Amino acid sequence: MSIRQKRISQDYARLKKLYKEGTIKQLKAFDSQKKSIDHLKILLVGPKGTAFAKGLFRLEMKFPREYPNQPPFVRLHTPIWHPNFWPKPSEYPGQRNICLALVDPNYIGKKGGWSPTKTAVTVVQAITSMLNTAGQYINPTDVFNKKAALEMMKERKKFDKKVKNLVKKYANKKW
Amino acid sequence: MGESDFFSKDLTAKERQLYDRQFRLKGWNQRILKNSRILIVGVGGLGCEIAKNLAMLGVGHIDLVDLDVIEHSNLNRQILFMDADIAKPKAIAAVEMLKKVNPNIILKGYHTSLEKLPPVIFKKADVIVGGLDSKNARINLNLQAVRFKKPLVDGGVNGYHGHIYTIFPYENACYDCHPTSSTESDEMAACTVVGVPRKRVHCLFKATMAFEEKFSTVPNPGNIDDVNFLISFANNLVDKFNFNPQFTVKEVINIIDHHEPGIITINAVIASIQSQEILKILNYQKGNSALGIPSKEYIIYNGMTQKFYYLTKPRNPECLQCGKNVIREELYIRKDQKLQCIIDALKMKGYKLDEEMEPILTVPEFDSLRELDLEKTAIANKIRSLSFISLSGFQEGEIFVTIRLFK
Amino acid sequence: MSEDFDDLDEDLEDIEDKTPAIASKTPNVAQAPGGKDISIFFMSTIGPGEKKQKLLVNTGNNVGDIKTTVGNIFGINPSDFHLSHGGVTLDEGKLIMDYPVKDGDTILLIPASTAGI
Repeated sequence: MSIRQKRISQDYARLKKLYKEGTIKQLKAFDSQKKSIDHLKILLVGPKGTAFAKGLFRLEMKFPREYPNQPPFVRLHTPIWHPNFWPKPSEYPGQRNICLALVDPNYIGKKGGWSPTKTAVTVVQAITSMLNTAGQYINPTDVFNKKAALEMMKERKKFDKKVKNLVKKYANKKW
Repeated sequence: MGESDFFSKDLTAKERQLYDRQFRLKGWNQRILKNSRILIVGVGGLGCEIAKNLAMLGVGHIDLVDLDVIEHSNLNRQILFMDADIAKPKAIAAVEMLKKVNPNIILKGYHTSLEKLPPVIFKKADVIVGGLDSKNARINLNLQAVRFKKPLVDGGVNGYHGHIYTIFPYENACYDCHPTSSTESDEMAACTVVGVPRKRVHCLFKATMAFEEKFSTVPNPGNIDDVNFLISFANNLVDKFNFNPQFTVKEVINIIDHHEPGIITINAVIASIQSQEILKILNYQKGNSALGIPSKEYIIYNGMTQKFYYLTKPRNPECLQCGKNVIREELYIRKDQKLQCIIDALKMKGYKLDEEMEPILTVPEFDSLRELDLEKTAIANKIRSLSFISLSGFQEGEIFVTIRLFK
Repeated sequence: MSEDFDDLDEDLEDIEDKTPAIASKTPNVAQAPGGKDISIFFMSTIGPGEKKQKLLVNTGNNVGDIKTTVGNIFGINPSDFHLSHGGVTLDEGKLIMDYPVKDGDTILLIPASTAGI
């Protein structure tokens, strides 16, 4: 039993609590045959009162070899219109498509970055709160989706409308 | 014959003849060996030699486990397979040969992985012997040795060097006392890097990935066309991202055709020392120290200089296996009970649930961590009596449970 | 896990470039602050001779980096040995200061045999 296994086990126990409480809608092993909890399928739901409300977002989470010294690998598998997410899940397969310092290996130990005191729950909460875009300031040069960033800052209504359209059309699939 | 047990009724006349020269050793006790049981994990370069030695010595019961089959390249150092067919399971072939070496002993071969080996085999062994070549397997073996408190006589080789180390659980450092992070496997990293290679060798691994994508098969280091494809692809990237020098044919073959070197002479020295230590432990366990006190040190052998070096490995009080904070419980559960009963039993024992967690049971399996279904029975969860289960969800921390099934 | 989101291309046709803003950057290798320079005797248990070399090492250095340097000096491939201090094999991912290494101590180069601890 290594520190990695111990942490994965504990983090998974925390995620499962979130699942039992209804905060996350699905939680299961990514590989249904192997059933290993170091690679997970999670289903997030858009926060109430935001343009992403009621949207179901498929999140892949994988605990790397060096966990907890490296952050969990995360990837969204649902199309989304948001400055900090790559919109099309079919592109850049196998890569992290979420722009968040907390899960960026380059920000480990820095402000807003990963540290072993953080958990998988911290990550899930951070990603969910990113969907609450009201009042957020985003630097349009430091994002994955420049177009969405500019729209969000300059044409808010158009942005919200587009978000809602995509949520309605695509953010409705479970794993 | 001195003070030996030559006339013990446990031994047949034939056996007395066979072991005649052993009886002449001061303090020798053949009966102890006959009544001993050894588990050899890994029947490769070291395992074959140790098994051969222990069989000749007359150790009464030897279990051998290995998930591999025989390859031609094994035959320069794995003597037990000289008569066997290529692709035969090693554990099975070994038993067949060992029966000829010594027909008086019990031999059992298991063609399986460590995880699938019935845990009772670990528990029944007097000494566990490591002849492994994988770090993961070693960590799993350490887990079994520590939880069943068995001495683990381990050995390893590298070129003209090697080492021997016996783990005495709770007496000296175990393999988890000072874990080292796996240096980022270059291949793994290459798989997750799409875009800029971060190391020179990534250029080559990206080339193998491109090869596999294009031809739907892995490149064959023996095929010059395959190698040339890799070289030109890799060197393209080397130029582009400034990782000179360029790769040569020799270098590419060395990297992709990675097998550890192995030679009978070094293997024989390490295996012999392991074997002698096993003898000492078996006797020492039964109160006979005439063969010497078993060594607790990490012994390094340099086959070039014929020098030995000795390191004392200190225990780590925070060790996740043998440290002071490790919680272990043994629970009896009925075969028809849902595993939820484990959580309930621990609550009854006084453990308190952590409110931020949902209790979960997991089983470590080679490289993964499998979750168990609390609503199903042990058998339905594919675990058996004496299986090792890890539990998260209590305030006291991780709890290691050994379950015992009964009707 | 790829699925066809049918009209997605239409809905998102105005996405400009597919710049790999997602590609990972090379992390900087820096010496940790607070380290101090100490003298260490490196002794090899492997190879044709028992070589011993005194080196100045900064405790803020990464073990992996020290290993590469030592490997170059002793002419041994870093993947063929581990560094060991007080019976403990040093983890390549850690710093010298993470271990009780003092000025004047000896660090051994031990064979990286298949057991390797």
